[in-house]
Amino acid sequence: MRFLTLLGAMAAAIAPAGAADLATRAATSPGGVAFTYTAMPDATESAVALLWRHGLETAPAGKEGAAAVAAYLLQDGPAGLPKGEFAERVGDLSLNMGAFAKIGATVFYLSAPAKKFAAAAEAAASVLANPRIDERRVIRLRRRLAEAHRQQLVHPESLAGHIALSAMLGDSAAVRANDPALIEALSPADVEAWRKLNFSRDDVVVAVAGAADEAAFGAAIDRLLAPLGAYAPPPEAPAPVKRLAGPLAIVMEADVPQTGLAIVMPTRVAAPLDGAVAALANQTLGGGIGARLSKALRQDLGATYGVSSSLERDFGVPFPLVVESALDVAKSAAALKRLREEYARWRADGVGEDEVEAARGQLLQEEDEARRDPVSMAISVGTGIARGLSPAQIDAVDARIVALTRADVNAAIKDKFTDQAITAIVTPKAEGFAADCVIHALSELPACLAKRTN
Amino acid sequence: MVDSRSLQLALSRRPAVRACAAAMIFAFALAFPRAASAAPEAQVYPNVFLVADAGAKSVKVWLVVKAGFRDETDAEPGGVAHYLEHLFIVGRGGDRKDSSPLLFANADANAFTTYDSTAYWHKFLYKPETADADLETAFRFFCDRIAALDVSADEARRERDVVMQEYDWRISSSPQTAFNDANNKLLQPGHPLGRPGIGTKDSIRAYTLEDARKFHDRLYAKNNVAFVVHGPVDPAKLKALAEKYLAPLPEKPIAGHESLDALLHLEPMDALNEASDAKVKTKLVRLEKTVPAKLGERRVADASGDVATAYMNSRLEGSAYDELVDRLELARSVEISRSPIGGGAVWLTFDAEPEEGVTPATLRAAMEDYLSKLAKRGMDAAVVDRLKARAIGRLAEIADDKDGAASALAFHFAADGTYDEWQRRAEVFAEVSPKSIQPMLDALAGPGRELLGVLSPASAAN
Repeated sequence: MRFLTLLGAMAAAIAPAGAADLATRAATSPGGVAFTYTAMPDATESAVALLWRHGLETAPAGKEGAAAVAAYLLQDGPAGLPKGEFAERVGDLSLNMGAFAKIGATVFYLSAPAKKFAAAAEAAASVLANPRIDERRVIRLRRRLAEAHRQQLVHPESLAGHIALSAMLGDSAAVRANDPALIEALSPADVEAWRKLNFSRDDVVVAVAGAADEAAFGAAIDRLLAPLGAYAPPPEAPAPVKRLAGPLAIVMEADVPQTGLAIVMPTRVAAPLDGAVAALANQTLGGGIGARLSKALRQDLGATYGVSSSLERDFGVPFPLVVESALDVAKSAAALKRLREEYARWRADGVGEDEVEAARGQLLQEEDEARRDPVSMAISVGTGIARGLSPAQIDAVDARIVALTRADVNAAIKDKFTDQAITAIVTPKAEGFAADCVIHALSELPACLAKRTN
Repeated sequence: MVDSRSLQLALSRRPAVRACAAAMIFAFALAFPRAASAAPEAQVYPNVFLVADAGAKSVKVWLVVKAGFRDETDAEPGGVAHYLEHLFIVGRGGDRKDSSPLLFANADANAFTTYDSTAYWHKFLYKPETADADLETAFRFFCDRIAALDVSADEARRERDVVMQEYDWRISSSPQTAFNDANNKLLQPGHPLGRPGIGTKDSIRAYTLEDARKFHDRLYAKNNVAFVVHGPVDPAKLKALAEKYLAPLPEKPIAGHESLDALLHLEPMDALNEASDAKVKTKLVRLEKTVPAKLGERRVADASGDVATAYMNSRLEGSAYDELVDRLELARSVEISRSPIGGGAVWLTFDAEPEEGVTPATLRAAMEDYLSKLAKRGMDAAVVDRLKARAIGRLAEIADDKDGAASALAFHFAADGTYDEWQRRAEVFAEVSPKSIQPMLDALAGPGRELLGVLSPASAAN
């Protein structure tokens, strides 16, 4: 959801719209919970998002995967209900419900058609407060999650992304959360501990969006939060993590049909000040089939099916730029050279008016799409509120994108992006890539990175 | 699991999901696909439909061409329908100005090819001052491309390389897809259902612009397409565009697909496909069947099949999950799909991830026993009513969402549906009953062409 990035990006300098124009406003539930309400009278559904201000970092080191297991366990329904009954109730209510965690945030959301919203919120509340945590189910889930992560790393592009991000992030909670070996060691007690700590009745931002009225939302919020415990922060703060910066090129030699490529770079993008202009800049680089990198690698070289760049938000570091592609092995060294040249040209010369306009149009369309979906809207507004924005500033997202000039974008490209690339390449032969180190298995990565830090 | 009839090959990909992404998301999936329903569309021309939406900030134009993998002849290289999809939208003439993704700089565009159809869409920002001209540009672009494929040889060669990279991205890196293709070939050799929709590396290498042009000239015609438009658009203006650009195009004789029925293999067979690969991390046991069936009126049979499949995939008492996962503890998960494949026949795919120590033979016996017992006992009327209510409710929700309704209508056409069938979706579900479902259950439990597929992690990876 790019919208999350943009809302996180809105500057305090945004000119607020007049109060009468606002679709988003502050409200309070009957139980006294403050929430942000976005009226969407034409929406078919209504959504609630709970955004706690704590996430993966609260888990003991190595237990971060409990967040994902706890989220999946919500599917099994509340304790005491016969197996399968909750899933069918969910089907009857058209209830869409989910949870996820990252560094610094845990999110729970639900949505349902207006006519079923109250009953759907009741069903969601019952499981949020008191989920069935069945040992057999935990064992199954942790195995499936571990296998899913291992399966993902089979693809050379995903594997390259994993290597590059692991190198940048170091031994962080974000990396440990997806470590299959750590996931397989989780116990039901680990899952319950994470759930109790992070699904709390306080330290939470509440945002709602959709067709339901304020009273219906207020009742649902009270029902969801009242049974939860108070947030008690863990006594020990997580240890600081050593991170690497580029330039660094790691090649993993592997029997793969394509060359997997991932480049990660730190940026100086700061939320909420720079997000919108940075998103616009990124869109010109690798945001779509007409963007710079796609034109160079797909249209000019025919070297790939796709190349993309994104500004990532989930790793506890400010917006690293991530470029990914799967390349024709025979053309991959030339494609990497071309990609580096394109990036250097982008940084040095900036972009033209036509590129800014194209990127602006695409971003506005994405914003519009997100704003028509109550779940996206609720999570996005909640994220914006958590980052200190006012409802007026949230409603001014489009205006902010429209107001940005080519000069703004080119200044951001020059000032906010860096050349400290960590490049990971997964390919049959390392020759031609000028690798700083060559590995043949993920288990060799720590030794490769240790050389770099020594 | 990949349903051979719904495999979609898109023009461009979504960004890869990063292995290191910290967030894990789950969402409860509805038992029913996001199917079509009566929607607020207007038929402004025989095959041009508008879902007018005054509040939308963008306009989306869909073109559905009823030409997909199944229309490829033996003389054509496999996957040419998909190759043409690439050329149609990203190819351009010598001036390089006529590329769909670049048609409007601020637009979004993509396309996909399925067994039945090829669908293209173009979405652009609605600007009141240029809205009429923008719609005309998009509509004319599609009509021009229906009339003639204007692509240079260099562009065609470049796009062939891109398709090869798509093949490696989707197929070569996925042992699961190779497993699906091998199963399909065993079950339906010589039939388009048994061929990989994207083609093979050899067929892709062999593509020529002429191959794509022949396919285009045979099947891209005004009488073989449907347009669906969503956005703040005046129906009269859209109708005028249809009359200006679509109406003058020539009609072409389009062959039906009845001849494919004769190629279907339905004679009993019992095959085994055992595959192992170090890239596989989860063991999968699959029972696949193609079976003859006498199901009655097509749409009621399809809706009955949807309800039966929803039941088998549910967590209700007597569902496959209830039996094989919860009660017998033979599998960690199960998933069932069912597709009509022409000639009244049905393709069943029954997947299970076995629990530790459970052999494929044991699991297969349990799957067959499940299907047999289900056919014997039939479906309970109260359960049918509950699942029908869900389906009908979902159709109503889609109808209320204009953007979703437009997409659903386009997908309906892409799945070879007619407008009459679209209008009758809810009515058809109302006709579903235990009695209408029973022939489907009997067919799924009965004899047919059967295959046990076992996909395992290679021992080196364990």
